[in-house]
Amino acid sequence: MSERSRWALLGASILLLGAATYIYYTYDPAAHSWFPRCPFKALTGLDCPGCGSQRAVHAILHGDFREAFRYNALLFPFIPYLTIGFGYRCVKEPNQRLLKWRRILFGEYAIKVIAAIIFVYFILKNIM
Amino acid sequence: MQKYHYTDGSNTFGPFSVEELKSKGITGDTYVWAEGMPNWVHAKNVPELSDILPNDSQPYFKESSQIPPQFPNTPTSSPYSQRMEQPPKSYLLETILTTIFCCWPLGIPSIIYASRVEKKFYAGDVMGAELDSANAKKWMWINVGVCVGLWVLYFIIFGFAMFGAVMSGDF
Repeated sequence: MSERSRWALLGASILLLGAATYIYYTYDPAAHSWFPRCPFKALTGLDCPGCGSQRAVHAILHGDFREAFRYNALLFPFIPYLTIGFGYRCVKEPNQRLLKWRRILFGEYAIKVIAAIIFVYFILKNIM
Repeated sequence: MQKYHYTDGSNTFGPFSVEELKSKGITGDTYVWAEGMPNWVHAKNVPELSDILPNDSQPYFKESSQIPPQFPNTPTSSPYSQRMEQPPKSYLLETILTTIFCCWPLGIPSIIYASRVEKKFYAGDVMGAELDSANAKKWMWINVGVCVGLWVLYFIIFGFAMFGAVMSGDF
């Protein structure tokens, strides 16, 4: 990717993120029906692992973390995790220590642990 | 017994036992690698392989066959060490996002492929790792595509229902 398109992408991402923040701050997804619905829930009636995250984002933006946790608890571990992950991506020439940590945090076993967390959460959410 | 991989510069082969390597016609200057080694090394620098190499290519061991040779430091600028350090993209982060926010059943193949990328890579199977990386990417996009498709479908149905409700309310 060229330097110019990289900046364009960054600008577009920031713009999109800003717009999304504004929308999710101003409107409560629980009260308005035009927010996108989860197709999995529409088809099966079951909550998917990501269900509730729009309401959770709305609650987080209003500082109501308890409510957000109730809507979707996965956001709390995954927002910092994904931020760190994308941060690692931006490092052009990682040194050995960074590579070691990247391998621990984002390697083969990390993927399996994350998959287990997502599916356990999916089951718990639907039986509780 | 260690299993060795060897490479011709673009492809890697293996794992082979030392016995099997004998028939592959490798020389002292062929790069080999086995599990536990930090980098690819010349076959002539691996003591265990000294028996199967042609004699003229291993002066190093002729002189010091009494003393176990030191493990050599390969120059880090070698193209193989570069390839060894950085596994191909496993699309782990994208997979998490698509699994949580799109269709989670379609996230399962992504997760399986993503986990195999590094496993194969650190076992020396660079080609296999790249293949799994490509598959992880493919399933990520399938998931995104299906999800957007379902959303559009949902909005069409929902839109019609709304339209119908408004119409019937008017009459």
